Amino acid sequence: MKIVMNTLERIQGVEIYPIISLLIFFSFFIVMAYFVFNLDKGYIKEMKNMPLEDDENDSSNINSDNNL
Amino acid sequence: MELQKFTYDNKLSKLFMYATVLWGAVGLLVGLTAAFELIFPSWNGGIPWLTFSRIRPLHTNAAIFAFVGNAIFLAVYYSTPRLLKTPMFSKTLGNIHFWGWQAIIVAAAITLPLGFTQSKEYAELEWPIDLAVVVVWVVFGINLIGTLVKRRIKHIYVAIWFYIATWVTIAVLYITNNMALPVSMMKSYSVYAGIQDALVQWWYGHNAVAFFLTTPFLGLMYYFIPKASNRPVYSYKLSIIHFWALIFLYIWAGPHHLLYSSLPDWAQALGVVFSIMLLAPSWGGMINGLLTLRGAWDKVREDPILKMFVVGVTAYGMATFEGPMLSLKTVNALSHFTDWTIAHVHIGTLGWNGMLTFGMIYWIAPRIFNTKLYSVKMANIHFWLATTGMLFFSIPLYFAGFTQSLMWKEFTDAGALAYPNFLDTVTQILPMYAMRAFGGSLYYTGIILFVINVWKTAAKGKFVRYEEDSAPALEAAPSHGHEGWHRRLEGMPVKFTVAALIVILIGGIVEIVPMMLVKSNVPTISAVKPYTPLELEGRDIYVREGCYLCHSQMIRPFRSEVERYGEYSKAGESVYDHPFQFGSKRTGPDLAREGVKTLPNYKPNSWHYNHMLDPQSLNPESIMPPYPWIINDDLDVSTLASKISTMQTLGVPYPEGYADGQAMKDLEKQANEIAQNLKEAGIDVSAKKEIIALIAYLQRLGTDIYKDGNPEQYSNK
Repeated sequence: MKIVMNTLERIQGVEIYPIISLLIFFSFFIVMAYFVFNLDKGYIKEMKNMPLEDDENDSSNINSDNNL
Repeated sequence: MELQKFTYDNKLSKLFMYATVLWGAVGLLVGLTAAFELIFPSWNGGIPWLTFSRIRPLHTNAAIFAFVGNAIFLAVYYSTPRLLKTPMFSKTLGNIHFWGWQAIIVAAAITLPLGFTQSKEYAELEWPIDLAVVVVWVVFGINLIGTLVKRRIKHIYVAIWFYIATWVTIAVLYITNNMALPVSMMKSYSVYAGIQDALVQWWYGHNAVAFFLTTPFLGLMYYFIPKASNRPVYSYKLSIIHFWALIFLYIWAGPHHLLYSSLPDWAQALGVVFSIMLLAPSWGGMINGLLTLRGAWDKVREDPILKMFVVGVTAYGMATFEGPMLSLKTVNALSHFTDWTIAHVHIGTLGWNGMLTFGMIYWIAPRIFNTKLYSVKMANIHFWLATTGMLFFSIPLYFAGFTQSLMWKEFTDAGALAYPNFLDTVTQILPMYAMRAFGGSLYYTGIILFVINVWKTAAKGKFVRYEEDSAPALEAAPSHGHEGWHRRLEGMPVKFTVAALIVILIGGIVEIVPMMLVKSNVPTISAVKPYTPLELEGRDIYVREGCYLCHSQMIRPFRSEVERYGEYSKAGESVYDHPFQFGSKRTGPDLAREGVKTLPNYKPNSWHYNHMLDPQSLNPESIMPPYPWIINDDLDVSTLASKISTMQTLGVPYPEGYADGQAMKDLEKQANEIAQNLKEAGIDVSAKKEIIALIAYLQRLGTDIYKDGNPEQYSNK
């Protein structure tokens, strides 16, 4: 650990870190948005309905056997 | 295509559901007790383990890890097999996970009130329990990823991505923040010190909110809102974008907890920028949740489950709007250290986590017991009690926060502090504390109805252990045309996990590594020396009692704070503080310069002695609880040598061989001096008592840079 520390202690201009991080995120976001908007419609539909597929129960949550 | 038959085992869902209900009732009762102790400080009756500062960590840990934690596991164990068309990977691992987690909770419930704590918020558990947490978390991870590997569905639904991100990130955060060197079986020192320790802690603290209270609940939302409303999620594209943006951004925002502290400016700025950006993906999630109910609002009028989901998701939207606002430096200057933060986090936990958990359990319980909910009316009453309780809890605390902060900052025309006595600002907000306790009581009444309703539902139904289902094997699943990168990634759960890990590590590394490794970030101050052995022992009492929960040790560079508490805190002053004690809340005054004799608030040894024994005898309106056991108990010095040598290992420059005998001699010498001083003030007390060590520590606080009478010469730059 000490070797790593001694090496990195000499880092100059640590202020650049936030700018780099912003750039990383921004490019990541653009690439992701591009791919998401080009996704196949059938796939989206299939994914969306995934939680509902096994639903043979009646969908009402508010039936109670008594009137409490 | 041949269909394969398989069964879902509801046993663990049932167990996690019971655990959620039980620990919810316990954890919130502890919170309610703490709320009442703030109005009636002597409620602890002189009993250590009932004292506010000991049970406050119990409340936060129980609410987060016991109540919300079990709710997360319930959601995961119920929804994952159904989304992946396969039973969970291993029943044995599932059982180890369940019972291991409950054992950890019990261990926490015993050790925290007894004062075994690392004093890092939401990471208080001592090292042996931390190790158990890591083991159980790994077991959970194997079970989750194993289930993904043997699934029958090619693509993984968004809820499960959130579960994966939760698992991988909590693993990284928890291990990084809890790095500590053991001193004894139940005592350790953080390997980080001062400002570095604070940075790691709030990187963890912030992301515990993100990846324990938020991401798994977004997963839960993406499964149970469509289920309960019987309609698909509003926008699946939005869910992909907001997933990646959220996990990418959240991890950077930790330093917003340390604005105006001695943390370097660049790290503070980074925290603020990312906190503001975080608003977009957070609201992406809220909008997606609420719009899923489009066309179903008529159902929302009648269905308490949907009502709870709507209020829960709205509370999430409010809290995630407020969070970025609180990270703005101007707002933070006002809100930090006040009850504003407490109000903010309770909108999140009572609203978002609480409501979603209640809604989920009201939905699951009738299904796994093959019956109807015992009482819909009771669930409706619970909804209203929870909603009004949350508002009665939070709104008075917002007012308490503004009021107290403005009072702290108010100056008279002559340029003096308008309220130099901190206590004046406390008595002003006591009515708001009473209102908060009332709001908490309302919320808790709802919890009681919740317990009854779940219990009665379980009692009248018959538990369905196994549910049958069928699906084609994975190889035979149909595919849709060409495969995009994200679809391929989803098809590979292990790689997906690694991708999520990389995304969260980028933020973590950019933020933490330079801070940890660049020495120039913490300017050293030659006047700052390690604690004496007695002060170190006193500091450990301060940690044990949880003093940091009500008293900060961080004077911000504002005129109002420098005027009240003395020269603002420098990063170089806490380089020997393993762990740091900055605190995050000022229920009482800041103590960073408690020992500086030339400051107006200086208190002699005898004052501290009497104050610990009976705070109200000195300040009738004080809300500090009494700590008589510190007066009565002998100081345990059996681990002194181990403490000194552990500190030496961590880089604290005690002389070589100091632990072997000299340390004890120095301790006794300093203790006798303090006992003699107390005797001169008319207090006859043995030098062996804990109070002597605590006084030694308090009188040392903040004095180093005042030694030559010129504290302004030191800077943070």
